[in-house]
Amino acid sequence: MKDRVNIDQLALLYLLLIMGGKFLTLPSLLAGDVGHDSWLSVAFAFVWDGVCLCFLLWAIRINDRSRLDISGILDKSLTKPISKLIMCIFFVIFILRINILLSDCYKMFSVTFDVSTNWIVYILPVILLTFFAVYRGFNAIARTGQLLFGLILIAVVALLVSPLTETDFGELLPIGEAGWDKIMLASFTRSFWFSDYIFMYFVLDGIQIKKHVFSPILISFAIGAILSILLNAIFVALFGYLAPDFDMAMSKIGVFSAASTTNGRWDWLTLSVWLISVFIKVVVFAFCAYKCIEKIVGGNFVKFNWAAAATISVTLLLPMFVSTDTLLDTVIKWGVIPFTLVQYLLPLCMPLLTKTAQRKTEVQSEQS
Amino acid sequence: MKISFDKLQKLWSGQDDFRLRELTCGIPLHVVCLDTMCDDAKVSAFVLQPLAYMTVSNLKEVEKKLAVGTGVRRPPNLYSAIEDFTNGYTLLFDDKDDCISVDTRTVIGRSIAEPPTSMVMRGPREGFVEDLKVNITLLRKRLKTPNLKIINITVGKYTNTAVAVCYIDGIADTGVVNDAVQRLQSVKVDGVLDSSYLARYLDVQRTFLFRRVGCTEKPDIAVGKMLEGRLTVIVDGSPMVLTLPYLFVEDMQSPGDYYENSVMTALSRMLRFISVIASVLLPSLYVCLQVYNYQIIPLRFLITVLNASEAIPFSPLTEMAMVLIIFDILREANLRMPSAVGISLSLVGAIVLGDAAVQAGLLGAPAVMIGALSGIGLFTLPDNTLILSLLRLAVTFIGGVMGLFGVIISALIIVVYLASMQEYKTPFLAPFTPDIPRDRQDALMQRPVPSMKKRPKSIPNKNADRRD
Amino acid sequence: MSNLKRIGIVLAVVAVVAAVAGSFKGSDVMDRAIILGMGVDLSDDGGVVLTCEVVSPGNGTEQVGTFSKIVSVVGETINTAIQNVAEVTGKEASLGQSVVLVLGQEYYEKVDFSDLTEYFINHHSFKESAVICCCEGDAKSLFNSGNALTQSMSIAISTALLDQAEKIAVPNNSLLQYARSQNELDRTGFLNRIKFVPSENTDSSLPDKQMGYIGYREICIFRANRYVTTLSEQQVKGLSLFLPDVYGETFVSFEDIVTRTVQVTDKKVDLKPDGGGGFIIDLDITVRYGRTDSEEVSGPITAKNNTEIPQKVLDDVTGQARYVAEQYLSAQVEYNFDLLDFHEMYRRKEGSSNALATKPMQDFPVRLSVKINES
Repeated sequence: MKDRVNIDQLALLYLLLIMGGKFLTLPSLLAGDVGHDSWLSVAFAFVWDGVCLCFLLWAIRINDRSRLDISGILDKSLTKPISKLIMCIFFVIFILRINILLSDCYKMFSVTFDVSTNWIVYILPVILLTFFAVYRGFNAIARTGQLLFGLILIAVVALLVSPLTETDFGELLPIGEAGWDKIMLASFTRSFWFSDYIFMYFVLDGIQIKKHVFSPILISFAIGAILSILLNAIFVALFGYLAPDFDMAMSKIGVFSAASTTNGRWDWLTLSVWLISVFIKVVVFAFCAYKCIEKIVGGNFVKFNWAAAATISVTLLLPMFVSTDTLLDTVIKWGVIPFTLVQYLLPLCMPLLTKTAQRKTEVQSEQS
Repeated sequence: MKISFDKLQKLWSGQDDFRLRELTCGIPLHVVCLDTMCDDAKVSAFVLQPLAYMTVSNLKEVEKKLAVGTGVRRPPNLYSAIEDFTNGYTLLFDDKDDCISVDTRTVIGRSIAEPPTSMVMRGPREGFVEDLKVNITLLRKRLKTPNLKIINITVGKYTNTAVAVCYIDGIADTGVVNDAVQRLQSVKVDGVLDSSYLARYLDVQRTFLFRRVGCTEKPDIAVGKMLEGRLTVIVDGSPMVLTLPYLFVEDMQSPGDYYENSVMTALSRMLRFISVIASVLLPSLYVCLQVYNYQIIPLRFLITVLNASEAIPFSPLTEMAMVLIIFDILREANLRMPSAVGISLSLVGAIVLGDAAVQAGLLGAPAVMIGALSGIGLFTLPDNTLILSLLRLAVTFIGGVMGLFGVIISALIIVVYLASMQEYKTPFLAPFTPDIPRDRQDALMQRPVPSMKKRPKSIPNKNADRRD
Repeated sequence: MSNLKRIGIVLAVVAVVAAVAGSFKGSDVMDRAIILGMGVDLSDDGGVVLTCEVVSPGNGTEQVGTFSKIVSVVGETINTAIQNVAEVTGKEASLGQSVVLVLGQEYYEKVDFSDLTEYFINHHSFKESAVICCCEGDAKSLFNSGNALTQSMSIAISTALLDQAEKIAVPNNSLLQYARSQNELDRTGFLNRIKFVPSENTDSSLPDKQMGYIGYREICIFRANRYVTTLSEQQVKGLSLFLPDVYGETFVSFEDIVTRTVQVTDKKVDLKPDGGGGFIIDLDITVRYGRTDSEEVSGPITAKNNTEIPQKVLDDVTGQARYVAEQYLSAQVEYNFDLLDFHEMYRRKEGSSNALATKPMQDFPVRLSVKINES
């Protein structure tokens, strides 16, 4: 089965997903919201993530007996229309996330790397990569993540080491200056960037459990969370009042990595290694969007479905018509409530829903 | 089809090397053989001399009384009779179209020598030859166990090439063996001239890039692989023995590795790994750093590059593409030339092309250096050199056009492609992904042989314990 | 899928790549004027004169060494001046490799250069870690005296300030630190003031060649990108005593005919309440013998064991250190600037407020202790 994935691969892929994308525009947005307390917002968001993740993992463990897929669970426990509605919300989330990620990356390439091109030409290779990977199956994506994760982790740590020595963490005092209500609110309004575990819904039926479910995934969650919080803290401590203006956190933070000014920007090479995780994230989310279409249509794509791929590709043209800022100010601002329903409420209910679905399946099979 | 002497005679009528003796030793006998395939001395010693003193009443008696012949058998039908005949057996027919065949094959072929493709500093120097029988002998010499099983298959409509699938019963996975045998039996082809013909058929996924079936010229390696649960396919007429299933990491393992200190081995394997990655990426990085991201280059180095390429009339991409293509042409020419000419050719390539091009200001010295470095680095993976050289050209082109963005995307596509490959229950990139901790004992690092107690898990096998 | 089809797909991909090739616009390094360093001066009409050191590759046969030329352009603002570089060099300016930004004396003394700081801090490729400093006289003539050095002027300045300054106890800062200091809290910060110091020609083969080095022992104070004052060498020494990450201050003690030099190796600076509503600075410094070979040529040979540093030397050091520290602190009160993170200390306790930003500097008594480095 080409969508099969084991727990270790899932954990490493999750780590890559946590690291990919969070270091682009999010730190500066949060710094704009709550100033030097942005790392607290990130920490709160991760606390919520952690709780939901535990419930989701519990559901995965329960599901090991029956290996139902997400629509199998939702169809049986809720009803088909509700299940389809949830899939539609998921589809919108994935498409928006891919678009935001890609447009951030686009900005990064054109601003930092001086590669200026038009949007269509920029996304063509990405689409090629994405659907090649989707065609090859989730297993191939998971394996790619497993192969490259070490390299990416080393790159991120290498990028963080030098700024870490330059940073005076005293700058983060006094803690909670922006007001705790504001900090919590920021982590809610920016929740769109978090809860990367949602991709696990779409590989539920392919997850192979050996012994442990919780420990590998929670460990990688912890590493990802610590790195993200650390990066945010370093970013605001290092750049102070400038932080909200520096929208490419990762490329700016590396400026102190070069030991001497006459060295080149070697940090950009490590930065490009980290960018691999962004593209892996795009690929994973595109896979999920593809699966969403499969569930919404109600079919089972045995062969590669060109129509679904084309649909997703077309939606990637969105940034040509709506700017990222507008997207953030309108769709994502107002969509945050339905989004949080599937991001935070659904995982909490997942164990219950999985059990219900399992019971119904067993009753059905007994009857037949 | 029924065996018939007349039919055989008709098939070979007019051929000079078709030799027929009519004898009478109780009953009339037709003794036929192919002059070109038989050893005259054997024919006379194993067939004619015993027959001269024999009086028999039927062919069965001849079969029993021919005590001096080692290989005497009764072909079941005309096809196998013809196969024996063409292989150099002498056939004996009686009036009733009954037939026995006696092994009188001539031994012509080169002697066992050290294979030129895999020389070792230390370790056995025997290599496979073209003769199937000798090759199996070489395996048997190293595997003195009844568990060495050999399945014989004939492939090729005209060549009737003998193919032997060898494996160790009790280690190799039965499913994999059956799968491979089935695949070989279903091969429909007019002729098999070398084992590489069959390698294409054994590759289930018809992989476009990268080699999916291993091959070796050394019996010690073949036996080593069989002990890890692989099977080997020996093709008559080819010194290249195929091994299945094949992992990417095998290309990084050199025959000498197992006879050297394991620390040295680990070091040299790392070097191979790094040099291959550098070889594929270095030219593209050089180009895209020049065209897009020169800020990455350290200032002093950048100034050197600028000084060198100020006068070059080509764009960095064209310059690097030229260097790479020239390197490939040189390699190809060197390969096809006799070795005596080859030396002068490489001299011409290195001095005249490289140095003169730099002197004339056609190519920059850094570009030539990077092209050469990357070209040499590729040879550390001998099995995949050509395909990697193609990939290098492609990535360089993409890097030159799209910058780091293109390099990242194309590298990812290659990795996804490699990671998705799986054949004979074996993932191509094992033990790196999926991660198999036990198998890392012989991947990038190599544990000393005494502590490698288990067979690799990535190769399906029946018995994981090496000591059992 | 047949091989033919696969080849077809690959060809199609190649065709797409070739088709999009024209859509990617990079900046070939050959088409860019790579600027190593910049100097900014005031022009006659109130605009800026930008002096750039631009990499100028030699010919193909000479492939080693730094080849650069100095280019001066005039513009209304810094932005237009940088655009004008293209006119002079024929290539578009590239700031990604710039290591230094020098402000000319007339420019920084007369003009509020907030827009310049903002321009460079928001520039995408100019490095925030680059050195920013000001100079005595105009930056143009500073850059043009680069011939006297054996290396590029920009690299000389950046190595002087980044690598050497800390060793002889002169603080320095990057563009990022400077920009932050001008916009946060009391909005005061400093820039190193450099000058070209001509020296005697010792090269007999080139008798006409001018020689010299970069001097950088002075510091200028700025508030919101406007010039406040220049600190003397003694005051700079006092300042560096209070900065925990700057080492290497040397003190000299004379006793009869013996001259002893000691160097600061470690220090602890602590600003704490004195109990009566004010603050006191606790300064503990650790010294060892200075490691200069010729330090005791004139006297009898003494052991260079640190534990044997006589009390007289320590007393001298205490006296000198107290003097320079007080010199600095009085300047700090006089001109009302804060390089010792006094305001930052309040901010960490109470958060930032307008009252804090306008809080005047006060004088602190210094409690000084000198110890011997026994390791």
